[in-house]
Amino acid sequence: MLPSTAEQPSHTGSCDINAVSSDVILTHILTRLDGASLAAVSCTCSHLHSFSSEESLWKKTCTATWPSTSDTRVQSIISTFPSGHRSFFSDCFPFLGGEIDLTPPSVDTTELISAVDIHYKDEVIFSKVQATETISGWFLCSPMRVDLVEPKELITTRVSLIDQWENDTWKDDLEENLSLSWILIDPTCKRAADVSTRKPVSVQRHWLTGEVHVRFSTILVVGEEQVEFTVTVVLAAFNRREEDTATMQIRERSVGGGG
Amino acid sequence: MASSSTNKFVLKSNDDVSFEVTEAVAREFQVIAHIIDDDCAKKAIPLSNVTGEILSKMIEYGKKHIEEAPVDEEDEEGKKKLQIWDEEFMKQFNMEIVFQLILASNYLNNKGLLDLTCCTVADHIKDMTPDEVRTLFNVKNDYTTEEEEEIRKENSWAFE
Repeated sequence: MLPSTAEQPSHTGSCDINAVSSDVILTHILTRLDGASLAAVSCTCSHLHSFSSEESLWKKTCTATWPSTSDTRVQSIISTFPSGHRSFFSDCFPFLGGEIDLTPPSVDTTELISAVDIHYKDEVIFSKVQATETISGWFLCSPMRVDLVEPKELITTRVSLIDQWENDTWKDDLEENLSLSWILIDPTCKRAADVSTRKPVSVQRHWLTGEVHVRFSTILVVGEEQVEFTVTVVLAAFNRREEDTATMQIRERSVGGGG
Repeated sequence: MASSSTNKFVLKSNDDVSFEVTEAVAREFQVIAHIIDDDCAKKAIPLSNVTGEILSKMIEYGKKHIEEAPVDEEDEEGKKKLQIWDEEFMKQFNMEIVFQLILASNYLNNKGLLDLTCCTVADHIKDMTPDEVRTLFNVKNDYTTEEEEEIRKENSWAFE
């Protein structure tokens, strides 16, 4: 036997990924991939396809991307999707500007579930799941609106904006670091879509109340109509004093408009 | 019992290359630690699945992780230093060697090196198309044209 195989060109050796034990591929390599990479791997060969279709991998990917989807209600809806979490992830994947196939909800749809996550840098600062019924006259005649926070409720986050406040860079900082995902789930049709912009389209401070309004907005074509999805996050009581937390209050609404 | 820094063992690769290492380094590999504990390590320890080239790299890794081991859990600086060394260490290998290191570290049971090598593979896969993954990892396409078309359509959201 030759003492070394190192002189061989790298791609012709006998050592390829399928020589690695299934257990190592599954528990050490695929668990480190994001959803898009998992999908690419599954297209390479049938062996890797069966590994990368593993439900647990996709569940982990979904809950890491959207912590709100770990909600038990959402979990049970996802389990009815054709390929479970894999279908859910691919439904919600076109984060930015991608074409979303949003056919109007069928008449059978009785409610829509909103799963919302707000991140500051890599940290989740807010996650919430809320159901909206879609059959009453009120819903059918007015823009859909979801309030995620009770009127007087304040949600305290661990994010400190003291430095940004003193240096007056809070606006740039929020535009840069605050991101939001809003997933609308239709339990009847077993479909989901991410209808948020990720990054804020505007950050403004109200002249009177001092609250900071961060607006996220997307316009999607649904059937024949253009629908605008808008989320307003209100950051209240930016504390100028010694407290090192920025407290936030979050309101959300979406507006459907003709196109 | 002699201290683990003076006690020496000889590890022998499947192509007959011998390496003399301290007990501490030998114990970095769980399987060898068991052989030592079972007192079966009288002379050279033969490792039938590892070549000399791979074994020398594994010993280099093991030595470094003993010499530069972080003092404790809080030693962030020490951890960072070792992490930078790990990254540099992996840069010298092509994919074939990386896979051989995965096989060997799995076989000899060194969790740190297994994690490091698998992480390298995962990092390479990120943002690649299926064709690029096939080329890099020498994966044989066993789909029929129809099957491939079907699967690509199903996953096209990820890379088109």
